[in-house]
Amino acid sequence: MAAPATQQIKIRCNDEKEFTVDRDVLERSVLIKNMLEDVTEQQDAPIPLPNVSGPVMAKVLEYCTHHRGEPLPSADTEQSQDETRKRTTDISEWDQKFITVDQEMLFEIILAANYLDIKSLLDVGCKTVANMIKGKTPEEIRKLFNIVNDFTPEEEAQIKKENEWAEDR
Amino acid sequence: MSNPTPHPILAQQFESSEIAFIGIDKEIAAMQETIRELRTFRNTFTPSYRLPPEILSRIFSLIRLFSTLVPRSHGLSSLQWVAVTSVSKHWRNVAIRSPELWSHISSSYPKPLLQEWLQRSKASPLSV
Repeated sequence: MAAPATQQIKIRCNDEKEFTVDRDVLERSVLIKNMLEDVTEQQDAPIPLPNVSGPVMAKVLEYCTHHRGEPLPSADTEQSQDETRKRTTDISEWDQKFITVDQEMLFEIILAANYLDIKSLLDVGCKTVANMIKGKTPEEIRKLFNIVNDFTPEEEAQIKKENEWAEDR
Repeated sequence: MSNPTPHPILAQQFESSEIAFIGIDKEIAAMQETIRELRTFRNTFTPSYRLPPEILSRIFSLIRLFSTLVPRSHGLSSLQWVAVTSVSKHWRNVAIRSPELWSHISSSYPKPLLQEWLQRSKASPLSV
């Protein structure tokens, strides 16, 4: 007996790029999962995703396909998940390789994960940025993210004072 | 001996120089403020500024957590994460408005630092 066919869902990104994806892969996104649950009839029109571009969605789908079938965090476990997330600072080898992208793409993936409500992907993105920042001086962080110092002299004085307090402890 | 009386022409020059200094200093201050505003505007085009404050705050929480997990032997202070407050105006505002970041305090902190952190932690449960 042939296995039941997996339902395929069409999505459309903000650059008109369309993807046809297995429902269980797309349901890694709580946003899309809820949208699909709200639709009672078979719908042929693609689901519009106005906040995600095609290249970013392709990366997100790569992540969702790799992690398909893994349990999604439920509302009940949300708090304990948060605790676990905080305790776990490491990123799996596959996730690390997946998230090794240029800075522009990294932040786009984080934004997409936040919009699509894919907690585990958001977590990987945030941990990656945190790892990039940890141990660096403010000047090194500015250089890394192409940020310039825009403090007023008053703010600079306050920061200097706080740093002196921190050194005194 | 009486005080020397400045020559009337010199006194007039001094007075006009003072006025010139005030005017030029005002101009310099206004230009510096314009440059600072342009620097703030420039920053808004960088990728990290696209993140919503709650996500940036979450990243800061992770850095704080990492810095508490790194052994002292690695040469990093547990307060090293505070560097994020010295990066830019926006990063500082996001950090200062994240009470959870400031709720992990130590009795070894000097009084002014402790007071500042307690103020920033707002109603967040404290961990000493």
